[in-house]
Amino acid sequence: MTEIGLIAWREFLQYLRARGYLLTLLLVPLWIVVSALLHRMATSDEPLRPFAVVDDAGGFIAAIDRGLAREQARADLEALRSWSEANVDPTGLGAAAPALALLLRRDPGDSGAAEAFLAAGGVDGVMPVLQAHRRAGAAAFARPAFHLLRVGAPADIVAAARAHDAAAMLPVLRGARRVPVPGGAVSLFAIIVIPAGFSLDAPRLEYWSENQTDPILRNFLQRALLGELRGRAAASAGLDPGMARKLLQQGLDIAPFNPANLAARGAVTEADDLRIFFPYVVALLLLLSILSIASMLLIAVIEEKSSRIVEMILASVSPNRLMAGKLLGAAGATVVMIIGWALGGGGTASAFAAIPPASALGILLRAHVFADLPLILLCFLCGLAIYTMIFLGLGAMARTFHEAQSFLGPLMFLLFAPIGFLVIVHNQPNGWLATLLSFSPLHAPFFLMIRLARHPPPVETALAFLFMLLSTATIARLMARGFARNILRTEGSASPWVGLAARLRRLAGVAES
Amino acid sequence: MTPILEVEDLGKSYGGFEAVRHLSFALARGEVLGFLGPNGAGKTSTLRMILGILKPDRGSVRLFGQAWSRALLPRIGYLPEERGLYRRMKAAEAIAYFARLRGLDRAAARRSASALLERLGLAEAAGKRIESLSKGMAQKVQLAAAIAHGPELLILDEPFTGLDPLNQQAIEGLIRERAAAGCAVLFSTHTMQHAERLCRRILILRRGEKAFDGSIEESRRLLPRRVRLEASEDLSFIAGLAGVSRLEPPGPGRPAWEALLAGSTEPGAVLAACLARGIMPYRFDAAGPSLHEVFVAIAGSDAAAEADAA
Repeated sequence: MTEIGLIAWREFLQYLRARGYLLTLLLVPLWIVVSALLHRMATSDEPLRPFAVVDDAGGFIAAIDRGLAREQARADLEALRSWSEANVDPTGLGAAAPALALLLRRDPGDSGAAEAFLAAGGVDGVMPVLQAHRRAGAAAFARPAFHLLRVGAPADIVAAARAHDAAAMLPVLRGARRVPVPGGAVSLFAIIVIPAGFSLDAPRLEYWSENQTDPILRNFLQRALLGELRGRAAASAGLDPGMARKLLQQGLDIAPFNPANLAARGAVTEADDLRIFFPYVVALLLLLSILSIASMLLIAVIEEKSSRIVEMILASVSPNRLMAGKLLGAAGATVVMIIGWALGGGGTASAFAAIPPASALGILLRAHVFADLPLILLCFLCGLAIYTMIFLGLGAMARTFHEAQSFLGPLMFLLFAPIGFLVIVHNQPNGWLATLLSFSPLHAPFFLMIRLARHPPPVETALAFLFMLLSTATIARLMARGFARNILRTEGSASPWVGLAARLRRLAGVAES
Repeated sequence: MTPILEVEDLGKSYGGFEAVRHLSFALARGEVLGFLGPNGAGKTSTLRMILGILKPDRGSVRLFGQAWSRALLPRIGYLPEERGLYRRMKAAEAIAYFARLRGLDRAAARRSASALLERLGLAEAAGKRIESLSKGMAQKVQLAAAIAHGPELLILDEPFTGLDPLNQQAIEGLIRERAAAGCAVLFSTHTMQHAERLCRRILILRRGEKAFDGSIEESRRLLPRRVRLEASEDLSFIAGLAGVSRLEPPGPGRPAWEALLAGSTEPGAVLAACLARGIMPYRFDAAGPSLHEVFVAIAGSDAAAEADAA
């Protein structure tokens, strides 16, 4: 093994044995597991919100029931869309049932999507078609739970609501008294009183509940009853009710097409989103790697320097080789960390999302994320090299941990400063700010990788990559020089200004003599 | 025979301070050279320039008969003045790591580490982490790390600092062994007894310049011979004897009469003069000057304070 290899291997093992490294390695999968568990608990344990409606205006209960059916259809469509992305063969489905394939690509929140899904028979209607194109080993579809339930109100509760008798309503709203429903009994989450004369001119209704902060039922009523009121107003103005509903509810179905998607004849799918999203994940991994590895590297250099081990090493290895070995060791530890995160995090994410690993890989392949991978990797390696070299240089310059920490603040500021521009760069990936940041020596690796899937101008891209490589080489050269000059310095000032002042004094002395 | 190390007109400055000036010397195979000098005399800078850790401002270093090159460094072993090893490494692992850095393959490095630990009485510490070893044990491990690859030139910067007499003796034995096997040894020290015991030749640096380079006997001859006498009678008559350049009476810190002899005057002449006067001294010491005295005299006022403190 060469000197560089030996140093790299020792550094690599040192990272792997460090408690901080192991903690960081476990952190991401742990964070995914905890997040997934919390999310699952929050969604599966989301309480059912049974509510009763006292309709003194007449006819609004039917409108509420229609709205509930629409909401259920929207939730079903959303779940079905995610499930089919991972478990259904899109080519087969597109050939056999193009309308359904198109429906599954629509945003469930789009106006008309839920109606079209209901018209296709909902889950029961489309599932036989989807089952025919289900991939081998695909997970079964689990219908999402729905959390709104309208129940009939007992007569005394209706009377109490009309009379504003809060004391009479409180037991049923607090769970002390339960209301019978098919298959059991429930306590009420809310009682809705729609007064006589409820209309667009008098759109006031009463919402009795002990929980006035949960927006789910409130938002639903807003959508369902406002639509009904508008429909009625249109009808009273002589419009056909169907036409009135269409006029009031129909939104635009803006079908996205990107001319760059030549193979798909311009069609934009979720795979395109994934291709855009993937570099953000890599950029985040780069940031996490820098934060964890580079700071450990800094501490290791200061320790070697203060314990004078470095002098033993430099007696047989050049500073450049020592630095290269440290760089390779840190890179190796980063690769292991990312593989660990990918396996641990991807595995747990896949398990919680009920997507088999092969399907998850298939999703990434269909999204063509790997087409950009070589350049993304180049950005990653340059970013890692730049910051690792800077930390090595700082470690050599600093005489104590305390002094190193004082360097960390400005460096972290420089690293994080452009995060505020991320939204602008995301929305205008080829705007002037994105271009500017792609030519920032410390930030080019991050911004270049996230722009790759957004088809930046080829000449600009080539120049930016060239600039990034040159910046990396220049920073490496500067830091290597600083490392070699300062690594043995433990006393006196490491500041270059002191050296400059000494030179000036000597020059002045020569001039005087 | 081609010298193992040749230093020619070496110079190094830090800012406006000249740490090493026009230094030249050579070291032969199997020779042990004591590199002496007070603090700040330029010893460590010289050693670092020989190893290429520092770049000389002027002059040259030749190793093994060739112009200095990094490729020759694996043939050198180096123990720096301020010492440290990776705290979490095991003793055998640390020795083998540095041996491998200097060109030994893994198996040979391990074998050499085990043999050295055994030789230094540290076989039981082979699997222990450096952080769990005593200071003396860790220092011996570091010396082992410097020599495990079988260097032809061994450079030791203050190898005895912080060691108890037993450990000092063990390390002296190891240095003698290496020298007997043909390894040239250049070691710096402040402790003259070590130099007296280990070297035939010393080099004394003063303010970056070579102040003396020769054998210990030659260095002793630089100072006038001295006779120490203790007797119950007054010995002030000695000052008037021919060949006595100076006489110091007993005083604080000096329990005996001390007579400095000029030229080739034999000490026996002083004793004979005493006997002729019927005076029988109960102490008569005609030993030459110690290396400590030589060092203080050569290194001058810079070293006086340091030597007194030691």
